[in-house]
Amino acid sequence: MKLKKYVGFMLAAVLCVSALAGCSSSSKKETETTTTETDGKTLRIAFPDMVTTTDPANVSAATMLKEVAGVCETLVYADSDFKLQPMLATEWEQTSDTTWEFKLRDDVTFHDGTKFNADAVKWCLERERDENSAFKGSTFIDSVDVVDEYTIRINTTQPTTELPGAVSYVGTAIVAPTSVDENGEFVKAIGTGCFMQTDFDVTSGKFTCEKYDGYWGDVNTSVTSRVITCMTDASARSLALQNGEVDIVSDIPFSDLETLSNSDEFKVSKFNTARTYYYEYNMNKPVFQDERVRKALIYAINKEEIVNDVLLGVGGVPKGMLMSDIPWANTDVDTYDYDPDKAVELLAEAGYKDTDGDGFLDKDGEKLSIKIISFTKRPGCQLIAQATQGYFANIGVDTSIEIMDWSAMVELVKNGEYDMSLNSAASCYMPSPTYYLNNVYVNSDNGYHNDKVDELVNKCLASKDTEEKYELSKEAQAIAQEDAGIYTVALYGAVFGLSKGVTNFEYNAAAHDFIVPYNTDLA
Amino acid sequence: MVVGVLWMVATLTYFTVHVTPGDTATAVVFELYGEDAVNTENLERVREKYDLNESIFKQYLKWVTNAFTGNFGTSYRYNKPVSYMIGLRLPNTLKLGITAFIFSVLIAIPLGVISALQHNKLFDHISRIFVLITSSFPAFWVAIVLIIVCALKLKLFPVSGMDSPKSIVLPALTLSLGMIATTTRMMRASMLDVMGQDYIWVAKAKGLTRNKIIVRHILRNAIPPIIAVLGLQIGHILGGAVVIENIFSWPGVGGLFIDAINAKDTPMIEGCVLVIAFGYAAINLVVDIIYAAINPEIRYSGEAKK
Repeated sequence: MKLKKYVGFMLAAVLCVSALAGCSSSSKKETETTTTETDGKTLRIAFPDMVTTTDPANVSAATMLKEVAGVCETLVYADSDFKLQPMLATEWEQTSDTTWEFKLRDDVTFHDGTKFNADAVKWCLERERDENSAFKGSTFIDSVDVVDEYTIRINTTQPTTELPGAVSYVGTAIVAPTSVDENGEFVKAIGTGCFMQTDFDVTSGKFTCEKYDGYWGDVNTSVTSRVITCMTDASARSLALQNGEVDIVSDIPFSDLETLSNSDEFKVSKFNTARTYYYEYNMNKPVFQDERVRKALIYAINKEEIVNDVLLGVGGVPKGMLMSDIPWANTDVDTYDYDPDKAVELLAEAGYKDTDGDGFLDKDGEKLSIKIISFTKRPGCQLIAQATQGYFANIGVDTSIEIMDWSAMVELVKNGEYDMSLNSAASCYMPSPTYYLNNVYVNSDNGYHNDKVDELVNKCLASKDTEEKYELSKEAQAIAQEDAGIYTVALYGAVFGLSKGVTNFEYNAAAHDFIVPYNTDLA
Repeated sequence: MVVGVLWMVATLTYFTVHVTPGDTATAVVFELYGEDAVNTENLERVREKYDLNESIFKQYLKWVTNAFTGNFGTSYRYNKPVSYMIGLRLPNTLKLGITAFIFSVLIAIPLGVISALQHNKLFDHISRIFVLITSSFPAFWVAIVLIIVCALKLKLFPVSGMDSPKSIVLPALTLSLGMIATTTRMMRASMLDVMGQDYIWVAKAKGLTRNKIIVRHILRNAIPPIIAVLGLQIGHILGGAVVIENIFSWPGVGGLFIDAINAKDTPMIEGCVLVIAFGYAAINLVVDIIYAAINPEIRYSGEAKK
């Protein structure tokens, strides 16, 4: 009898699961029919972050909606030359230290047919200001006034000459006031982009959108819908591409590059990005207060070999602190090209010699030992740190490495428990000649400080003339590079895997993550 | 009893998260907005929003008091209630876990039974080698091999998401392998043990048919220990799902858990740990009940003690 009960329990469990499987198979059938009904091409893209809402006040969602899905747009956008171009705003002008006026396009409608106008922009930006905790700190937007139906005035929390760059930030993507219900709860992203949201599965993060016929711009593609799937694991993305489940994936593991490059079914595209990998010395330690030691350790590293052999070509050799395509990047600076002899010479001048014959340099009886700390999230960090350890060993510097979470690394830096830290930062999060200098050099956390750099950055921030801004930024970069307290060791590379039918996919280094242009097509 | 265990697990987790290096607000801003958004203003906003400026004990007390009323807090990473986020993802994890469990039972029990009946014959040797292999290789490696063979080469199954009914096969199979190994071994050992008992000889001597002996006497006595093992294994399934879900982009609690750890999202970490701990405790309870149902001796001995 009891055994029968047990068998009965097992049968019930099997039935439950078949019922569950049945549910999923019926929903699958529904999606299949919708795809065939539209009778067009579907572009399938893997998004490397988890998206749990389509509310642009959430940065992951905003990045997916604006750059990957093409559902939302911003007032201004930065082209691949880092120049600001009109998008939903046609022109802009600074009217006082803390106010800017933007003229809006008058021929735009939201996906539900409602009119795009100043009221909608005011509602949207002020909502994002309240909902996104990094909004104010990143854009300095305090409030928005409606001047007339197609003109807005933006008031900033502090004087800024760089607001147009700030409103190209994904977190300022515009959605219609009809995106929320009567209780103010966000329901659906109703944007102005070339594609409109048709479905969002909040449990899996799968987002579906199709072409919007009333789009204001000219678009030339045979793709009629896009499906975006969240895949946070790099290997999972690569495997999904290889199994024909997606057409575009970003950041595939370095170990898969060869397999994908050698296949006829896929294309691999590598690009340099505006993100950097940079080393910071702990300037509070006496050893790094000597400029010769700081420079010697840069000469000891073969930057070209790191990019080509360690990062497998995913990245670039820096010609200064910033990517050279950036119009305000100063490439006329000393890049401390690989020269181990010079490194040894400089260290000897600073008093570091191998006096006890143990193969390591020492001074006053103390061995020159360096602890490099770095973090896990960026794929190149650990590799670059390991290569550095090798280069330092060649010149007789004993090196240890610790790789950890980013927040743990920040804590060690704060407590001064390190010698060198390998970090990474976006230099064009918003196209601004002061952004990177301000974040990494002026507000440095390693004890680096130069009054002259601070002064130039402040002047640059205050200047309203673009050319003058670029010149001031370049001057500050030259001084900071000469100080060598912080230096860019490699440019961060983006690598994409594409199925062979994908055409017109171009990379824009000014993007927050990566942009899938409206014109991207499937052959 | 269960509540006590959960409270202890939650408390341990809470303080463990806090002693790991790194500041919570920094981790949250980094995960949400990237390295360059980590400035004093953004950090202050996040700290204020989630009361991170208060002492750890105050934060803990507040969390525990709310948790007892069923409010598990708001996720720092997603800015949504933890219960809502877990509610979205838990059904997927359960679906994967139950399927993996059924796979393992359907494969391991027959394998163990036949191995025992074919003791020291060819089938037994092959099954023992199979068990050795499946238990020796780490799940993430098995997952990749299964993907390469069954998906990329044979084109039988998708490797990501849960769009088609076929999607569940590879993740569930990977998840069940470790369990199959242990259960098969236990089943085989338990069968062999029972088969050596005197009462089996008596049954044979009585002239019962082989099938009757196997079903009525051997299986019936060999299965109860297996149920306890199965119960413990389900706990491993919940833990293993964290890794497997990530590899197969399966939208379950595992993905939430990993993201929560990266962002030091304490309320979400607590939520995920509680779900796993509760699952473990509940399964053990169910196991005890089933065990008592099919083996009355336990029930009687329990009552006798009273």
